[in-house]
Amino acid sequence: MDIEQGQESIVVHCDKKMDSTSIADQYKIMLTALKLKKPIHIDASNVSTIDTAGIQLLLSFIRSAAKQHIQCQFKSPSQLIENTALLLGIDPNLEIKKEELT
Amino acid sequence: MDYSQLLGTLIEETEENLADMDEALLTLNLSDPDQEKINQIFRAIHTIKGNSTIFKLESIGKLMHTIESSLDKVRKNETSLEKKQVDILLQVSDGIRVILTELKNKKPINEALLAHLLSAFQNISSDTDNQISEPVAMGKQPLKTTKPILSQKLEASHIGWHISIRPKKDIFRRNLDPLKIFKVLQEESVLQQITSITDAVPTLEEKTFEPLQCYLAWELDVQGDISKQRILEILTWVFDEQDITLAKISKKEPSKVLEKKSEPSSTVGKSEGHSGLITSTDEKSLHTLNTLRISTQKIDSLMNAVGELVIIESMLKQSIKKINPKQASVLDEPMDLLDSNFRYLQDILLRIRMVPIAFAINRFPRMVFEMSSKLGKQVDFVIKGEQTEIDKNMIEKMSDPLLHLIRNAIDHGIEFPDEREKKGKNRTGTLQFTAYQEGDGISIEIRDDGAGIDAKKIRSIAIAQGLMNKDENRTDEELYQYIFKPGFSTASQVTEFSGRGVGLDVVEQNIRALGGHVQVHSTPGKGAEFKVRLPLTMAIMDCQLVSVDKQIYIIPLLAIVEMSQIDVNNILMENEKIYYQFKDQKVPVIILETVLHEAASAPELENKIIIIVQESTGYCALICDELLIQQPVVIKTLEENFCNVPGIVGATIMGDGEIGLILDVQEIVGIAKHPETRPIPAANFFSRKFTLSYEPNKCNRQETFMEITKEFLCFALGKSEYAINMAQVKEINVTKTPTYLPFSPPYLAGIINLRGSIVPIVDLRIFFNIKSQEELNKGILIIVNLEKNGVPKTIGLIVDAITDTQSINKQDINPIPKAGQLILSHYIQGLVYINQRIITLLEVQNLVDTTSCS
Repeated sequence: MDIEQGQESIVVHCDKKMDSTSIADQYKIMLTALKLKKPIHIDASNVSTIDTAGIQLLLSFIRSAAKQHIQCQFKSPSQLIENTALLLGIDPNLEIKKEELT
Repeated sequence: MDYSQLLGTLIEETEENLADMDEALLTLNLSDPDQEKINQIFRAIHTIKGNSTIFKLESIGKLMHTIESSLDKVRKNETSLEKKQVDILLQVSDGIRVILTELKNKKPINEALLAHLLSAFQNISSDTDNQISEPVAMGKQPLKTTKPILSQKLEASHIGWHISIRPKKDIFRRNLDPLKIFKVLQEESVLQQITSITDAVPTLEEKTFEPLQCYLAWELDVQGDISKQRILEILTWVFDEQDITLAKISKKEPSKVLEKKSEPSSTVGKSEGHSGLITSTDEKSLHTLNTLRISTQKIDSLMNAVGELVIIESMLKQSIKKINPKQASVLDEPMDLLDSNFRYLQDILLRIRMVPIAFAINRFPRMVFEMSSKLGKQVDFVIKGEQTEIDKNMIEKMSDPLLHLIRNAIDHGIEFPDEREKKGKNRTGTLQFTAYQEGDGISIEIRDDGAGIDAKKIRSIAIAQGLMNKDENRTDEELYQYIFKPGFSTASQVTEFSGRGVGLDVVEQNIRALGGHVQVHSTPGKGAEFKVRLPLTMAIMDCQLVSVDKQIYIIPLLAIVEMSQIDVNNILMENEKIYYQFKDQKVPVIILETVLHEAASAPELENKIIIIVQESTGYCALICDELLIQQPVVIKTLEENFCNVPGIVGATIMGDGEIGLILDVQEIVGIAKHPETRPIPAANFFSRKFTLSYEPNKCNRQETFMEITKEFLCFALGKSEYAINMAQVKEINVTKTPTYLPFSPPYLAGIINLRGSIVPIVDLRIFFNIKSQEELNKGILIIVNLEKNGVPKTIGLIVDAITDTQSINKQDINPIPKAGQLILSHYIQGLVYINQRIITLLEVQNLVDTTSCS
């Protein structure tokens, strides 16, 4: 996970893997991103592995940003993230595209 | 998720499901099938499919899915189940078992086998599908019309379940992922609605936030053909039972209070438009699911801990005896309470370890069915008392011996139908398996109504094999015991199943190793009965302590029939053998001192104690010096650091820390009757080789001296000085007096209790022929860590005295000089010369024989 800093906003590029084995480091980077106090785009397009812990981290990140009045939105989330959030019943909180799973 | 941790549970559950399926298949009457049995088969397949999916065992899942689809038609009465399908399903069951064994051994899944089974099932199913319209023409009666389970459920207004999940916070840390569970529910097309409760998720900056803690909770609705049990099976892969609440959802009944949902919900799968009504809140918790899977290792650890407490309690009692009786009396009441609570604790723990014997025998009906079919025999297999409970550890060890006895009964006992008819018997033989609790033990009877055992034939074979003399008198019961001798078989024909004389000896050994015995009764022409008697548990046994030649021995109460002061008037001599008149029987006498301590002359029997014990051929009278107390003893195995000793079940550590040896009554009787067959176990454990010349190839210098310099512990043996690698030394003690171990060579001084472990002690002075018994002083005990076939063993070595420690450089090691006398080159690494001292470096690892198993 890394932070790409722009003039007006920052992009947090998510790693391919966001699961309980990798989120400890990602959590630290997210905390750093919040300290920059700029609007955040979460680029989760490359995420190919995510579990409940990973989704919970994203949820907490978005809530933190909202609490600090920092704009935060997903930039082209991968289908996997959408489906996972939907299956966990978390999709409304993540404010990502909602669709029914079949 | 780390599936490997759960794989064992998957395998166990799948084996149970396969056993359920087998049982239903084997008892299914194809001409008039019982719908519940069809459902039983369907449920087993369905559960295996679901579990395989969780573990990504896709090929098993695919096979199960195919079978499930086909069985669904049977379930819905759209088709009938044919014999060939039953055969294939049994093959599938076998195949999955093979795969489970491979999984246990961490081998890859045998995809070819699964593909073969899939193709075989598909072929047979397509044939059957073509025959659906003609069930009567095939000689089958139409199936009874039974309503499918789902419609029965719907009639009862129950359409699904509302599930509340409040997980433990540490599930992520335990590598458990709820997502997988929801995927399975989704794949089973039952997940209707899911709502997450995210109120408790903190923001990242909050101190309470820990990425690996779960703050989420869920409310789910599931609908469709899924049982509560299946839901729980799936959910408990990740969640603890107490974190789940289930409530029924009904179409008709009015709504009761739903838990407040803090978030809007997601709809998953096709919505049936149900209103999410709860009709029953009486199932708030999962107390209805009153079982808990716990690893047996955890139970064993708990049992060991209680075992240690029993020993400590015993030590406490010993210590109290040393206090002034007036002062000690204040401890009477608390000690009584402690004692009764320990008893209660042991009792509870024993009951936790007990499982129905059904677990050991659930595969027997299948085996009986297949074996009798192959042999062309007709056998009714009757099981009684399958719910009789037995220690889990014993069940695992008893399964194979019992199977062997059953196999033997079918192969050699029950006659062919024509033969039975000629004898005026029913063409179908009966084989009955009965288990029941009898006193402090379990009895298992395997009885057949076959030809019985021919005692005369056994006698003539035993004579021909040199196992007995022509003129020896033996009762039938004694003669039957010969069938347990290695290589003994009365079968004239060797079949696929038995007749090679291999196996019954192992059966008897296994039963004996569990502290039990097997008796044989037979009426020629009418049948035979094998009665296996086992203690309830092997962990703690109620025993009688006795004294023999000032040493304490322990006899399990299970084996004892009666104990009393000897009545010399009842002693009889016949053919130089001693017998005792016990009631109306004349029982052989075994003087324990003679057997265990190899007393040269028989002691005076007056004032001795006689203990009548039950052994396989009848009663026997054991003579000891004194009866001590009765108490529960915790069995410690001798094999932890040594090896199995004939006649000894194990050892226990008594209140004063001394060791008591627990006798194997059956083996003691065998050794007493045939002392010439008595093995010396230490001979296989230790390697005692002496060579007449220097053997450079046997020198271990190169292997041992990987490092340049090593610390050595130097000690004296007689007038010479020796040293061993300090890294192997665990501790040094003043020699405790070891407990004498019967049937041991002279160099084995005995065994000691080393903080709860039983450790064998070798006197190096005798081992190396340096001193004789008469010349020995008490010596010093060096405890060393060695290995036998990769297994660590702690062994004590007695030497005369410790001299010092030396750092020895590899370059200073000299080869052993060639000499024309007996030297111990097998154990010697080399020699060092330090300040006019000659020190022989020993390789003590070579004391242990690695060519045989302990």
